[in-house]
Formats: sequence, structure tokens, C-alpha cells
Amino acid sequence: MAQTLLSIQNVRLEFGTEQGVVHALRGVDLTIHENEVLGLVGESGCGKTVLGLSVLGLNPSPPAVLLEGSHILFKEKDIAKMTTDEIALLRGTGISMIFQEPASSLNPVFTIGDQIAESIRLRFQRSGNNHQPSSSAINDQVREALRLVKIADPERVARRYPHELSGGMKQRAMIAMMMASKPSLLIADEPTTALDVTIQSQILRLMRDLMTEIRTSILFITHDLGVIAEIADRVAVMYAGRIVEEADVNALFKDPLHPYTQGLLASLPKLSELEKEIQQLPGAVPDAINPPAGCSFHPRCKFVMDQCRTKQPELKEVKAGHKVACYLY
Amino acid sequence: MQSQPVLSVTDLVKHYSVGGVSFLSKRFGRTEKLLHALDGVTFDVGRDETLGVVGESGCGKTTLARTMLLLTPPTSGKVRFQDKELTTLPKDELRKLRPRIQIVFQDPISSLDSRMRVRDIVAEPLVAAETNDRTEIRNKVQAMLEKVGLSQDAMNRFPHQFSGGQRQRIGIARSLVCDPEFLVLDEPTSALDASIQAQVLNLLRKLRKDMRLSCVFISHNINVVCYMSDRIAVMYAGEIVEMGPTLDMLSKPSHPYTQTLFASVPRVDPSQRRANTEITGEQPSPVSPPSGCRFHPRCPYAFEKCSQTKPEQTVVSPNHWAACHLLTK
Amino acid sequence: MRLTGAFLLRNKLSLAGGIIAAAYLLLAVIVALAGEHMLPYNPYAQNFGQALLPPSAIHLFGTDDLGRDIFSRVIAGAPIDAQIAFVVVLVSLALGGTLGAFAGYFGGVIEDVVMRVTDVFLAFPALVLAMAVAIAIGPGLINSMMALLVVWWPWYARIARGEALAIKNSQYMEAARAAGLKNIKIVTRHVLPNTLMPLLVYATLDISNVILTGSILSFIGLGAQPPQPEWGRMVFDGQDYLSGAWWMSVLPALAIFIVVLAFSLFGDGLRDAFDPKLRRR
Repeated sequence: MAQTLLSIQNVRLEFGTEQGVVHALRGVDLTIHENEVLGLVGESGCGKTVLGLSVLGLNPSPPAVLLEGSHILFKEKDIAKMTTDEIALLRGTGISMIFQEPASSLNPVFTIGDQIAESIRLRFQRSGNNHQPSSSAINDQVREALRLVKIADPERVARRYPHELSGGMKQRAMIAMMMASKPSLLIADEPTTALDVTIQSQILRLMRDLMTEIRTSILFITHDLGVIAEIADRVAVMYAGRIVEEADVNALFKDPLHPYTQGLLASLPKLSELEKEIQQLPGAVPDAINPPAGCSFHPRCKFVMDQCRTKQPELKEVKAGHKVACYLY
Repeated sequence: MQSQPVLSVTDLVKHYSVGGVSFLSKRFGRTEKLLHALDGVTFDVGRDETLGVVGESGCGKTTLARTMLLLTPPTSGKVRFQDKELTTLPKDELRKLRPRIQIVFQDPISSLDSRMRVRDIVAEPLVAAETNDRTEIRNKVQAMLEKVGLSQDAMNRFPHQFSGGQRQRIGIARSLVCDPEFLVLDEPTSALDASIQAQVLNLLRKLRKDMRLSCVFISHNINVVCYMSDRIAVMYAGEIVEMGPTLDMLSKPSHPYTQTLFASVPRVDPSQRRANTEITGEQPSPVSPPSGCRFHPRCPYAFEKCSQTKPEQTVVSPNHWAACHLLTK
Repeated sequence: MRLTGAFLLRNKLSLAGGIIAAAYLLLAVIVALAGEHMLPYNPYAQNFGQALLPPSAIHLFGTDDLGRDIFSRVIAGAPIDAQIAFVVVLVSLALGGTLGAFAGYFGGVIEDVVMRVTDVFLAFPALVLAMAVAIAIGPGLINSMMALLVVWWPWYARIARGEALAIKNSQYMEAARAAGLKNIKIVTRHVLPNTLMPLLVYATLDISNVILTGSILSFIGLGAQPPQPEWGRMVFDGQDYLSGAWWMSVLPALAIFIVVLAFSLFGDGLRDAFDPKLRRR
């Protein structure tokens, strides 16, 4: 049985907005183990990015409010109860995060090499090491980090500024920065969505390789089920602020249990089945300010029953390693 | 084949000048830099046929959409619609022809004027065609809104009151209200969630059958393009490198880029994870494209001829050709 | 549009400004329509026996050097500045704004010409230019309105041109071209609504500027002529009596101040509610 790395328990988070209270996370339970890639999949508005940001306390704090009873346990400590300083220590050492737009996380006025070096120096500081490594030692580590992400000619790239690199290169540089701190957990929020499909497949392969080499777990957040099938070991499906299904990746794709998962899979055009018309899910994602009562999927569900309209189903394990929140089971 | 194609594009070229070279610097010998967005594209679209155009960023497909409709004047080349040569038509005649050749844009937010009501937005091509009878306009708009699955009270509302999928339906209604013969779809579902995308794609399939439309469907999403198109053209660096019937292309991709492209698409099936893709590198610079075959710097099979001469279109199977020296060896 | 009500309610200063501005306008309309009958005293009636009386129960604002009741004159003068301000702002918006929108959308020669012309006008400080024009065409209320118009339209032209440039290449404009709309129709259906509507907010803020400048023109004798009870002119008239009968100048000046402040505060709130882009100006 693999060790638990991160345990998210009953996380509820709200945003106050002018239009009303947005219930972004409505009781999320999720566990990430060591050495695994957990794919978190859902459409826009389901709360997956908010969840990713919550792990590192990165949701802007007014207006975001983490409600009582939410726990995010990392190595025995509850992140939900940490101060900003304590979380800052975690970031870049235990847990790192990369985003969809590398351009927004890379400082345009510093070279790539400088930014990776900063990340390395911070790691030293935070791990309590009092003496800083020499600049040549840091440079070696910078080069090593760039080599790890398969950047040919790391010397030259280290001297470049972000705007001189292409999208794929920038994303590799981001990964290098994050990996330089050798985190136990990497949170990746749509890291390949903005990239061309050929570049995406290179980056996905890179991430898998790195994961085995550095023994990092990845929380991979995306809306793309194809990417999930490519990279994840386990998958959690999110809808309207809750996890509705969680399973091993093969089990999820071969035997999806939740009607939403089934609908989502059926609505994707597949190269192997082009003659069939894709099945469309009726309706649209629910309003986060006024989510439907009971199971938030019920207005769109073809198997809807009376209890679905009144009470929210719990996430229960119905087969080995396969959980689902649905009254059908 | 049998009848005359609806649209016929021949050697379409679009170059943009970049670098803001002033009159003075030209005198001192600085040459203008050209961005080769489109470099000689040729294809036909027949009645009731949909040609899919697929490619990654920078391949020129967006420029193709604009230039094909002469929304941007081409640098050279011909575009023939039914029996009229568009590039030599006087401006006024071209304008009058437009309700017959329409386009659906990518962004549901910025493609609709947020200050106009839906009924005025959808009526726009009718106004352009100088239909003056207000009852006729209202009836046609109502009929079109119903066809795209929007309720009648949508007429008097504003775009911001609708979801992304609904806004895209409004855009589709606008493009079809004049009963065009030809439709260009430029990434029509790329900004939509997967479940909404399925609805819009199925709607498009139904409409094009009912209204007997010939279409060009442009997207970077290969699954979607293959699902929607009878034939596919693969674009790279401003040129079409391979073109043929969809199923044929999928079973016999002949150009190395096409092979890589199709292989890079993540399959929605974890058992089909590919171990390795051969592709390396990034898209070439459109300002100085590689000599000979533009794909040669990244091609795993490149040999000497590839960097020297441009490959010819070689027939692979009926109606299916690819431009690669490997095929003529 | 949606946020206005809620926003203004929260921004109390702005709301207060709005109420005062509305009250002022209402007063101006009433006086303009009903005439002087409803006023406590005839604003033009001179009564030397009652000259230079301080504010009291019978003369709320006191009397001036000719024995006229200042309160009645202040009320009677309300519509004057309001009318000028509205005409100047609306005409500038309509003509200047449209010119600027055309310039921005069509570009080329039209844009160059319009921009260079506005450059010339904008090179001068507004007041100086207004004074110069007013001196050239002579004093008088209508003339001062002309002078203000000449000075005011270039601002709207400039801003409208900027807005037009910003939307020129948006996708809905491309869609309009793709639909086959004639250029002129594109301008009327899309360019003008999208450039002039945002300008309305700026225009509201601007009303107070015009009122102020108009009063100043009258103050230096180029605008309203006696015996018109225009506030700026009244401040001018009371200058010689400042040490003794201060109420002659100070109270009309206070009226100007309150109205201008009210419009400014209201306009600020309106701007913040409508268009975050304008906040930096």
C-alpha cells in the first residue's frame, strides 16, 4: 500500500462576489499517494483550479474563504491551518506548482538561469541550511535542471530571457524551476493546454520520466480526458465543486460509473469511432452561486431518481479502488 | 469530380511585412522582412462536402480562413466561388456576394457586439443584403434561432446574458440566416467545454445536412476535425503537406509530419499509451522558413534532397496526395 | 450597466453628488419653464433703498449694489449655465465624437487630417483659447457658448478616435464585414454605439468643467452681460464689495462650487461603475 502524501478532507471554499457567494468547493475528499500521478479532470467552473490553488493557499484571501472543517494534510501538518509564512516555506520545497501560461510565472526581466538559481537558493534557505552554496555550485545545478528537462544546450538557454523562448521551451523552463527544488508533490494546472499537440506529447513524456527519476507525485489538473489517459495513474472527476468519481485510470475509462463521466467520455469524438454520432450531454454546467439541490448533476442526468433531487450522494467505494458519488450504486 | 466545386482556391499566398522598415532604412539597404503566413495553398471544396484543415500554431490556418474569404486581401492567388473569381471582383460586387459565403468565428465573446440585442446581431447579414421588410427579417431571425436551439425570448436579450455555448449558437445563427452556400468554421468549438462542444458539433452536422452546406472546418483539435470532415488537409508552415479523405488519411498517413501529428493526439484510452514519439523541435519561424521541404529540420527521415528541393505532390491513393520526397524515391 | 445602482448606493459621496446635480437640473428646468413668477423677488427689479443688505429672513442671500435680491438672482441664473453646459457637451459629443469615430475607423487621410486639426486646438489651454475666441466674436451668452464649443469638441474627437481604433479589429467588426455590411452601416451600427456610449460617462464628468469655464468667461466679462443673473457674472459684479458686502460674490461663487463638485462626484462614481478603463484619467 503506497504512502499517503497529501490528504484533502472535506474542503469547502467560498468566494464572495458582487453577484453572490460562489461555492467553489463543496466538500472535496481526495488523497494523493507517493509516486503517483493523480489526474483531476473536469470542465470549466468545476473548481479544479481552485482546489489546486487551495493546496498552497494561493486563492486570494479576501474574497476566498476556506470554511471550517476543511483539512489539507501534508506530512502530518494541516495546510488549512497554517500561516502564510508557514505555507511559504512549503512552496518550492515540499510542494511546487506550474501553470498553464508559463509566461505569467516567469519574470520577464530575469534570465531563465537566474530564475532557476533563485529557486535553488530558496530551497537551501528553507531547508534550514545556513550556508549558501557557491555560485558555481548553483550554476551546475541550473545546468543540471535544464538538462533534466531535455533542453539541448542548457548553457545558452540559461542566458536567455523568457520572451526569447517558445511556448514549449518556456514550459520546460518552468518545469526545470520547479524540479530544481525537488518537491515531493508537483501540482500542474493545465500545463499543456496552451501548447501544440506535438509539443504537448513531448512535455507529457518528460513529466512522466521526471516523475520516476525524482520520485515526485503529480496532481495533474486538466479538462482534457485524452491527456489524462496519457499520463495519469489514478483519476478523480470533479463536477460543481465535488469529486463525483475516483478510480484507477484503466478502470475509469473502461468502466465509468458516474453518469457524468459516462456522458463526458461519450461526448468526445474519437479517431477510432468516427462514424458514430457523439452523444451529447444536455444542459450546461451549473451556476456556482446557486447549484442545484441534491446531486448537482441531476438536472442533466438521464437516470435521475427522486432522492437525487433532494440529498447529495456521498463518495463511496463501490468496487476495489473505485469510488463514485451516485445513488445508482 | 462530377460537378463543379463550390469553392476553388488556387496558389493562395499571403505575406505580411514585419519589422516596420521605414522609407529611409530601405534606402540604406535594409530589406523588408516578410512573414510567410500562407505560401501557395490549393484546394477545392465540392457540394455538400466538408474539408477539414488541421495544423498547429503558426501553420497558417487562421490566415487561410481570412484570406479565403478575402476578408484580408491575398498577396497573390485565386479564389473561385461558384462561377465568380473573387480576387478580381469589384469591391461592391464582392460585398453583395458575402451573404452566400459565411464564417463562424472562434471566440463566442468578442464575435458578438455586446451592445446589440440578439435579434439585431442575427439580422446583420439580412441588413447587409438590404432586406428592408422588417417582418421578413423578424421571421427569418426567429426561424434561425429556433433552428439553432435557442428559445424565442432570446431575441431581445443581450449577449452577456448567455453562456459560451449559447453565444456560439447565436454566431452560427447569424452566419446561416441568409441561407449561404459555403461556410468557413474557424475553430468554432475551441473555446467551449467538452460537453457543450458535443452539442454544437452535432448541431453543425444537422444544419449542414439540412441546409446543404459546403464547409471548410479549421481546428487544431484533430479528433474534432476528423469527426466533422469528409476530407482533411494538413497544414505546416503555410503550406498543405498532405490532403485526402478522412478515413484514408487516418489509415495511411503518408507525410512524416502527418504521421507525427496523428501519433501525438492523446487517445482517450489508457491502454493505447504510446511509448515514444519521434518528433523534436518546434514550429519553424514564419519569417525565414527552412529551405526545400519546410519540415526537414524536424523530420526523422530527412535526407539530402529534402533541404534542397521542395517536394512535389505525390498521389498516395485515390484523391489522396502528400508532398514528400520519400514517396518518390 | 448592471452594477450602477448597487455601486452608487455604496459610494455615498457619489450618490450625494448625483442627488444635488439632479436637484440643480430640476431647478433649472422649472425656472426655465415657469419663469420668474415663482421667485420671491423679481431678479431684475432694482431698489436702491434696499441695496447691500446682508442675508436675512426677508432676503435670504442679501441684496446687491442695485438692491436686487441675490437669492432670486441665483435661482434665476440656474438654467443659464445648465443650458450652456448641456449644449456644449452634447454637441461636442455628437459632432466631435462622430468625427473622431470616423477618423479612427477609416484611418488614412481622414484620420491624419482630423488628428492634426485637433492637435492645433489642443495645443492651447482650454480657457485661454475660449477667451481668445470670445474676444474675437464679442461678448454675450450665445457667443460664449460658441467659444466653448470650439474649445471642447477636440477632446471628444480624440477620445472617440482612440475607442474606434480599439474596436476596429475586434471579431464582431470582422463579422460585420464578413456579413457584407457597407462601411457606412458598420459605422452606424457598431462603431458609433461602441465609441459614443463610453463617452457619455466622460461627458457627465465634463458638464462641471463646462459650467466652470463658462462661469469664468462670464467672470471676466466675456460671457453673460448685465443684467443677466449668470453666476460668474455675479461674482464679478460683487468684486468691489468683497470687504463689505461679501455675500454678493461669495454666495454665487458657492453655488458654482457646489454644482461643479456635485457633478464631479457623481461623474466619478459613474465612471467607476461603468468603465474601469477610465479610472486612470
